[in-house]
Amino acid sequence: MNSKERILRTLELQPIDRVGWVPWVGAHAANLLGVNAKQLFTEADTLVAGVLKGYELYQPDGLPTLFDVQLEAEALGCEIAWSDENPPAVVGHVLEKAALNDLSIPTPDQGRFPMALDGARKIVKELGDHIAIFALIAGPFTLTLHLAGVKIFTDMYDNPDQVKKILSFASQVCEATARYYAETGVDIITVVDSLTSQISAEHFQEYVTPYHQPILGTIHRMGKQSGFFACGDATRNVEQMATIGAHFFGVDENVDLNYAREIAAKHNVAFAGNLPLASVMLFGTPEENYQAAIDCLNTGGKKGFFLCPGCDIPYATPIENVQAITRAVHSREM
Amino acid sequence: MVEMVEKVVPLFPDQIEWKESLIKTREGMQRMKELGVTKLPTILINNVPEFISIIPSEHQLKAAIEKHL
Repeated sequence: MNSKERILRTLELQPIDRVGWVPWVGAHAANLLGVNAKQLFTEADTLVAGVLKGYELYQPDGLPTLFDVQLEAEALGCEIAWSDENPPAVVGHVLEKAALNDLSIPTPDQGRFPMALDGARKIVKELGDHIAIFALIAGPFTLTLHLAGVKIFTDMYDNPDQVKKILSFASQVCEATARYYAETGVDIITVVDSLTSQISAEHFQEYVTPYHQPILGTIHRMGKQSGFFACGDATRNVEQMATIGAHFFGVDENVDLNYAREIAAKHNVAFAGNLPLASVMLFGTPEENYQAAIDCLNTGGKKGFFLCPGCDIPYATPIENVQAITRAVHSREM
Repeated sequence: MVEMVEKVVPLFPDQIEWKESLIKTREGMQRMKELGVTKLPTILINNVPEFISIIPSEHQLKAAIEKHL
């Protein structure tokens, strides 16, 4: 069984030889190359070089292409700000200046889509026979927040119809993004709707679940596997995440992995998590990282689980910390 | 979450100060430990956790601040 088969079988809840390992090498890949994050997030060849470096250093079973859930918002006209060590941040919301009717679904030649899709194609070509390639796209709730700003948290109470109109549009954008990525040959498309960890379970049912269905339907119709990921304390919504219809759901260290495993087993879906990002990966020692990985492996078990950080690996994370996790994973080889 | 704070703070001119602590810095990690914060993001008002991993509406945050004034 090669690495790619290991991950794909994991998501189908089939037997595997050992637990798969997927380091979310996002902005950290820029550090591996000695460049700033903006270069990685704007140049396809730099992105490809960074991902290849991550492959060489961390011996993963899967890797992401571009870990940037601001891509769609930027293409729609949101203002973004760059920093040296992080993905871009949305700092201006397009719907504060334009009407929803004025927006249209981005085409693959808009914004940074060309570099993102070119990068994905090249990564698939280089690594796609060996490891599982994940495309990460913004979820509709997160995209809605990017488009309209925090006003939506008040409008969810006072003006729900308006929020739902934006969500419907965002869902179509996410569906298009998933389609573009599926055509590059990636294996798995993960919908990252991080901000859904910060709403109630009732709001999740009303404002999140229905808007993910068309996206997941498109991903599955195109023969790809799917994931749902939310960072933050998503405990109150883990059950909703498990039942949203994706092959797996991912959580960060704010969620008890035992609880995630129980819910995943109850609903027959795979799950992933949840190496602590800052306290262990960024600031811990290699020994602490090794132990954290062993703890996750023990808790996650061998059925329908893969090991990954809670979110994208911080830029300055020491290489030896991530390599300690790789050692822990490989110590479980039969 | 920060954006909601930025939106509500101007409603209380000269009455409150606020700051953001980031977990990706050692200072932020230290402050989190000192305050006993275990989940992120969290809004604390007068060092009391008021919103733990939930983005409040404008009304909710305004009411929580008023409670502390």
